[in-house]
Amino acid sequence: MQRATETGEDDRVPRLVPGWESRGVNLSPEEGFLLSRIDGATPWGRLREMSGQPPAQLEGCLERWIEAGLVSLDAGEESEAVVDPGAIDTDLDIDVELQERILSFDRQLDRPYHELLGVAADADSKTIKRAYFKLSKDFHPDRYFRREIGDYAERLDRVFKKIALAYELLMDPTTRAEIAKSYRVGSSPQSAKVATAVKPGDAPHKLSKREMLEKLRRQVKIPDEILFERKRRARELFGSSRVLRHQENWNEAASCIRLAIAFDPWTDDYKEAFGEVLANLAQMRAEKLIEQAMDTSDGRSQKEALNLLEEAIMYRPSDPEIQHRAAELSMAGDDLEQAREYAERAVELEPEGAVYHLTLSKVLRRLGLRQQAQSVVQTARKLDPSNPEIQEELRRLRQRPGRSSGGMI
Amino acid sequence: MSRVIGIDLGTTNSCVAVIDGGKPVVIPNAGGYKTSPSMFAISQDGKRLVGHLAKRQAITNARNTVSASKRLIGRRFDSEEVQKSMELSPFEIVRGPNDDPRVIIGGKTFTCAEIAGIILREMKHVAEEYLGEPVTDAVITVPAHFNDTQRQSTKDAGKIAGLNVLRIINEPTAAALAYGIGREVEEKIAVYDLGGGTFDISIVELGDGVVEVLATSGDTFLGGEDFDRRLVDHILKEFEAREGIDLRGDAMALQRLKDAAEKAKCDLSSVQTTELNLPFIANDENGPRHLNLEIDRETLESLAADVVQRTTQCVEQCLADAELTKDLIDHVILVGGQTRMPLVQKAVADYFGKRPHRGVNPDEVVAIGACIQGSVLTSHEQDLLLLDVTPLSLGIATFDGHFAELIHRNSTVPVMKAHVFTTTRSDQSAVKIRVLQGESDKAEDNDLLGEFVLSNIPPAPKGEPEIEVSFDIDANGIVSVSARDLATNGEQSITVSARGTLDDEEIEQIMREHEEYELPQEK
Repeated sequence: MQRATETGEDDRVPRLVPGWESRGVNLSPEEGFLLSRIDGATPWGRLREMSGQPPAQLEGCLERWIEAGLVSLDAGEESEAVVDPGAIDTDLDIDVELQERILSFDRQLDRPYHELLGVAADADSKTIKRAYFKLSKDFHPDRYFRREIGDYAERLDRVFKKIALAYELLMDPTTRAEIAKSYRVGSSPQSAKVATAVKPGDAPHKLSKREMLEKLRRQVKIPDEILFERKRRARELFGSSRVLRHQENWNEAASCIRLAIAFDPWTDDYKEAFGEVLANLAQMRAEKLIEQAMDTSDGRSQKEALNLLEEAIMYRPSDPEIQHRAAELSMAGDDLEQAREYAERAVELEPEGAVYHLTLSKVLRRLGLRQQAQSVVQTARKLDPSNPEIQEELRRLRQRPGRSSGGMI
Repeated sequence: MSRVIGIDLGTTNSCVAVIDGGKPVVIPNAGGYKTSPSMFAISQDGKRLVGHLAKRQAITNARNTVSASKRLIGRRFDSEEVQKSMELSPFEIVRGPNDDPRVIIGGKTFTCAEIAGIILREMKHVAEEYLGEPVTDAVITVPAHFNDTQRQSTKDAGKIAGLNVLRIINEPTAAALAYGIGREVEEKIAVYDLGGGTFDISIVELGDGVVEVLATSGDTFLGGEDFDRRLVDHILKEFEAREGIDLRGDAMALQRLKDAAEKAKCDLSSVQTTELNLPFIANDENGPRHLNLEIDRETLESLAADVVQRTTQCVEQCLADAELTKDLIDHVILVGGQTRMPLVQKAVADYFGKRPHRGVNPDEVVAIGACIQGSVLTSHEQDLLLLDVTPLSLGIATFDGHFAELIHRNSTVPVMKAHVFTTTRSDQSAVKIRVLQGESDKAEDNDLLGEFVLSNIPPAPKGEPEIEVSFDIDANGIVSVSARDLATNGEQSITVSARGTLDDEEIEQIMREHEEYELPQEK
């Protein structure tokens, strides 16, 4: 039973705090996914189920977000009663009771449309109209014309517009059918529980995390308005990433797009952009590594520098320059076999690079493969006839080995 | 707190009402009339005359008497409506500095808001006399399809009259309020409003003390005056055929003819034939000529048949907007003097398949509704709520000259709608948001309410930047439009409905000027 409470029954509903700033929030892909599922309607227990991660870790996550002002927590079904007492102002020309109603309504504007109007999902249009008229009499701004109602003017405006929207959408048979369809499989707490049929301590543990995510993603059909809201957020995030990309702030750009994809995994543009950003990120990282490697190579540890270059090659496997530098470093460390490998790869990647041919030639010469070295340096000279270093190398190779090999008897 | 008056500022007549002793009362002027002609004149000796006093001398002073100025208010000088009015009006209409039509009488130029202001001030006086206390707050009605500029100009007129205009509401809506007050039943009604200058049709739903406007439609240039004009034309032709004299160039003769034709039209609502008698209407070398003509109802009806036909087209449109069929309408209310015409009543009854409701006075019901709305807003004694709609669609112009609608006409206010737009050129750094009002797909055919530029869009390939444009109409009908670059959150916005054809300074100046004139009262 203890277990059941942990996995499924937590009714508290987390919601994203409006105006939250996505930048600077570093999230793992799993956390990003979890955050993106927070829609102000799905209770925490369901979200935990969706993520398939250990509950303790998730609780930590939620606490951090709440602390960072990213997420707030509603008290689930009883939330209607929970109203910030600080917002009640007895000096205003509006009943305290009504103030409470407005506040609680305003906090729950993300509810399904029929719940907003307080009618059953299958209510007929007459019932919907009556409910709308009744709510209008409480919440239409005209009812408070010229009255001193402070902040409530803004709240009423917001609440009434949403009620009017709910009414408009539900009275139109087409939009209503769409909304109903999305709820049928949808993520309203009750129906979602039935739809997923994931029992605690049962099947989920046999599935890998990724499979589980995929499975849930397929099962949870998202209501249109939440989908819309998600897409809107994703667009916003993607918009931010555009600026960051422009500033070449690849790290934060990647973080933004990752979140955008978490909110809206259906738009391919985001994924494409994400690929580009990742490539740029890799490039940047590689440059940094090379820089570090060059700094390090002056000192005692060429090995360390080589390790850095090796990592840079992982990010930019097709960059001949890194290979070339690695070859030079290896040669300086007298690891000639390794140097040959790097040098050959550099030439392979950039057959027109005279300097790469030169380095390969040097390596080959030092390995004693003078004939091969000669043919390589000839190529280098063809590519860059005026390079004095190449001419020098050619001169060296043309000399008889002479004295130095005289000892071989 | 002082009481709120409701004013029906009509094309031909205006009417004022107030809640007195818990009941709406139409206030008679000093002459005992419940409506006053919407006329303003400057007499030969320089006196300013309004209402009945203006009308009485209209014949002898046609060039210096303004009537039907409501047809001009808030319009552009070049508009078809203004041009049409110029042909018909005995007074001079000129182009104002803001491209607005202005009127010259008594050697002085007046804006249309100013003339409406003078008439509204007269109505304010009438109410103050009756109540014995000063009045400042008012609800004023306008035709349902008046656009923003026309509404704002009417508001400006209220200001000139020294009134604090709480709300501008639609005439048919006001009629529905007057009909709906105290009714508990749920029903759908059609308000057919054929006034002197305009035609409006609204479909309204009532229930639980809520009056919800489902749809509204109309024609700003279709009204009783069209009937008069047809009749005048007919008489002119008859006279020319008989006497060989064209009276069109004679302002005084025309004014006499107009008056007589209007009277004949009204008479024909109750009798089958009537006689026009205008002695000494013209003069030539053969001596004075008299106009003696008998007109029967049938002639009038044949002259007006197509005008009535045009109203039913509007009704069709309105029913379609309300997504209703005519058999679902429980009651039809007739508003406006022209609905007294048997032909109109018959056409409406035939169309809806039921006899129009007879419980309201078509001349007074609009002013009554306006004062009810004033009381609903301020006193909270009335358990009534009006869910009003925006009469015309709002949107912006797209790069290819199309109109992208954001708020559909007949949306309940307050309302907010947003849509995402993008750039058409790569590295486009700014977009111009042109705010339009109207029903045409072509941007240029709609009214430009205002425009602004959103700049500092970061360079990006075309189609990538996302500009969210949102439209917001608050309960007072104030439209604000904002554009936001979703990437940078950079935002620009304007409030568009604060524009009439006059700016605040001009209004102030007119108000100061008017303080110098004490208008003679009706006796």
